[in-house]
Amino acid sequence: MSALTNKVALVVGADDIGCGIAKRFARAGAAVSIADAIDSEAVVACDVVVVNVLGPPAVAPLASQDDAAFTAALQRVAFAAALMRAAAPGMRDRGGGRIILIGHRYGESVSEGIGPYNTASFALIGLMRTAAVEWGRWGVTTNLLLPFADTAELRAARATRPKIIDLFVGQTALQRAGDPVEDIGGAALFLASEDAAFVNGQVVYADGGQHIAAPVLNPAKFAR
Amino acid sequence: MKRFEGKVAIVTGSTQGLGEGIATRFAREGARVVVNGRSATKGEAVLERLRRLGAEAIYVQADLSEKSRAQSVVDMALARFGRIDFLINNAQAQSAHVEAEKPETGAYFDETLRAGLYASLWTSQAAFPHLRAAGRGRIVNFASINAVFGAKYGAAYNVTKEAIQGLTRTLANEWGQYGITVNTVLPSGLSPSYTAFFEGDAKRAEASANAIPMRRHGRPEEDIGAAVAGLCSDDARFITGQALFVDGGQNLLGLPQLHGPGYDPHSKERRP
Repeated sequence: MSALTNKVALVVGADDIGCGIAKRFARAGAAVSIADAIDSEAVVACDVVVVNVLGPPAVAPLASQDDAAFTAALQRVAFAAALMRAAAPGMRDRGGGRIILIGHRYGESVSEGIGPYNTASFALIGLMRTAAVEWGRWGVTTNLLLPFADTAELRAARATRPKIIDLFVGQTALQRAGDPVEDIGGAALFLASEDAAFVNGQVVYADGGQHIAAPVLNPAKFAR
Repeated sequence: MKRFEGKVAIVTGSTQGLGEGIATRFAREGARVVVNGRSATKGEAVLERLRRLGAEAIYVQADLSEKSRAQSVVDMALARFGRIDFLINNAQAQSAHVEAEKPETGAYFDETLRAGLYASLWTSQAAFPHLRAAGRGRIVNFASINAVFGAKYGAAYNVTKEAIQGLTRTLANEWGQYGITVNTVLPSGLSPSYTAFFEGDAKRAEASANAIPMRRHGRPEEDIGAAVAGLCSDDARFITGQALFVDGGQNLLGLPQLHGPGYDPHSKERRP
């Protein structure tokens, strides 16, 4: 009997992180689907929903960011809220569920040059906490997972700036970037499992300790 | 195969309450468990319950405010089981509630810091060479919502709990290179001190459950024990330095300042 046997999971956002989580959930016994859009019928049947919709940052100094960049970033937060609202009633009717948002530390540890992304990342915290407070009574937990992983973006940055990226990774407590399946997927599985039945409204860092140890990688400087 | 088959967990302060719940969870998942606390009567009772679950367990009577006793818990674990995988630093003596300006406050600092902060440091130091040699390990420390919000009349306890968070982050940064993760759990569950707070007052108990977004109290084994087990599992191998509230979301709503001065958590046991 695995941790997610007989559970139905949906991962929205099929990047490296989303795919890693989906793979880990599948191995834990869940019936997993992965999508880039909301399918209302599928969402209603889910025990676990992973909301991984932040997208890539628009890079420019705040003074020259335009309205459209902010609108687009905040639309992603609205999309996250819509997905959660679509999922919650089914979870309530079945006596509980798990909502796991995927965000980024740019919401807390702000990097220059990515204003809309910082703003949207921080907005996810407010959204997550609101759902935790309102839906906890239904047995639905809502948490925000902030990963630091060995993604295509990190590898691309390393290809051009190997020294700075190695220094950056080496500063973290565990001195490595996370594997999207075993490390990030594992942390998501913890939140999706019975282990975390009473963990609600939390920001959980699957980052090898980066949040206590080191700055975030600024895509305006190193990931272009 | 159970998840913690072959593993060894030390759970300090596990002769009652949340500590017992954590020890029970680890035992149920197949770990061999070192039970610790000051009361031999309670310790033997917990041991008996764990053994009825089919678990291998020992009880080490020790007041961890003495460094040599903290060391002895680790020594006994190694002597009996030959390894240590998980160190759960749950023990914490509580002191009576008192206004910060009273002279007792300083004495209470000594007591709570030794029994919580120093105890966590000493057991961690004692376990460290073995965890490093194994190339992996898990340490879980304990902090408190009371400390995060500065609950009135609890200066000594609050200071100790916040200091433990500093210790957690430092150990996480220093020992991460050896594959050791160090995290803090901030639990809200039905511990003896928590139930004493509304003992015999059903309305107060219900009101306090309703102040938690999940509308229920944390269960020592199924909620707090499970989360600690999760942090010790392979799933959480990339989580370190984290402060994790296991409280159903209680911390999001803040902490009502309901404590009054003069409450003594030891009144039934130690100060009749």
